[in-house]
Amino acid sequence: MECNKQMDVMVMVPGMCYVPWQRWAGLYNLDVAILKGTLFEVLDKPFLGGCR
Amino acid sequence: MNMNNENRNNQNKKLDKRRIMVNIYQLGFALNEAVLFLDTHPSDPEAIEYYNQIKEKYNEAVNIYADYFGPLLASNVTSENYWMWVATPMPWELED
Repeated sequence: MECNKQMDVMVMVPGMCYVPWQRWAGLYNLDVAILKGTLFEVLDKPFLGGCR
Repeated sequence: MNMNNENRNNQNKKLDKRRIMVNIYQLGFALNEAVLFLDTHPSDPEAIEYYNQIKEKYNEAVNIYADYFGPLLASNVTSENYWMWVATPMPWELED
């Protein structure tokens, strides 16, 4: 099930989406997780209206 | 004097109830997150360990809440001679 295949971006087919495999790491504490809406720091992506 | 103590006890009980409920929400959320991760990573030992730990704490907190403040789930009802489900306030009914 686990996918560890590394792929060069240049050989990727255009028009396809890629979701990098998530690792079990960077967990928020319980009180923070529920407020952030995710347990994983790496998935904490607040909506910034297209601005970085 | 007695009245003051009683007020303070009620106040403490209310705070405990709130604290345990918040804890249940937090643990339940973390449990769901671990479940979602495990759906795509079923053999991740750290995730399984985390799931087991959080599940235990979650069940513990739900049982404590049920013992002191009434059942949260219909399956928490343990009384034999009265249907406690309707006798205790609903969790969102924070009595003042």
